[in-house]
Amino acid sequence: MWQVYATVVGVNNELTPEAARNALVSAAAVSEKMRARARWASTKLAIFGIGIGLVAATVGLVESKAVGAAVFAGWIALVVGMTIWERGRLAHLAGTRQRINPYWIGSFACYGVALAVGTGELSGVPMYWIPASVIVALPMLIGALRERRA
Amino acid sequence: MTDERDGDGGEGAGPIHPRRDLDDLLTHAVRFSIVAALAGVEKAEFAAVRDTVEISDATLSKQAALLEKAGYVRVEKGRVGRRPRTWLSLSDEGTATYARHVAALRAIAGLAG
Repeated sequence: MWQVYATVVGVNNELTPEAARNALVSAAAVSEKMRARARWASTKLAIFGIGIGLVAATVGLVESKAVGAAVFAGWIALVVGMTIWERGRLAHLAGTRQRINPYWIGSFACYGVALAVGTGELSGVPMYWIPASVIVALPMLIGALRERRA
Repeated sequence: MTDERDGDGGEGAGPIHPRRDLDDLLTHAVRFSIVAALAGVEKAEFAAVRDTVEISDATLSKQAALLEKAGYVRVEKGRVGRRPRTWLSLSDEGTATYARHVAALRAIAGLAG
């Protein structure tokens, strides 16, 4: 990729317009390649979005302490796994944490509201818990989509 | 780009050719690519830069050391678990120099404005 720039420098060691254009194209390509590598927060948000949606649906629809414990353990495992995965990322976009925090807060706030409204009479009612789970997952899934363009 | 009148090195003779804004260190293709790769991110690990720019470990080490010495790139060594990690990032000076260099390239390419 960088070789293009190296070989199109013109005669008398003067940078020709064509060489300058090639250098810019090359720089843009390298920069975008690195940014693509650094856009891992999109994957993280998508996985956690689906995860919290499933947790909300399971907690609301399944009235079993064993299942509740399994869901809790699964969530902990997901958090631990994703933390290890995140530490393995080799490039970071500037401001990732600040950008993704509102989506986390949004999903957890929706989860809190869904639990507050849904426990009791609506417990185990799919008509409530399925849409509620989608709404809980939505902020993080929107964040995942937006982070793909970061 | 024929508007230059600086051939005799005279002062205040007219428009200055944009090549004068090119940074000597960044006219080297590999160094330019390393800085371009770092320009879009907060920081990147050595291996990520090496793979993105498609160069060897030795080449990246040598060029990164030059860029660090010039104050363009910061190099931080650390560990993730047992694995050693070397993080590269652009300094403020490196960011400004890269922006100037790119602007000069755009002017030379006739893309400025």
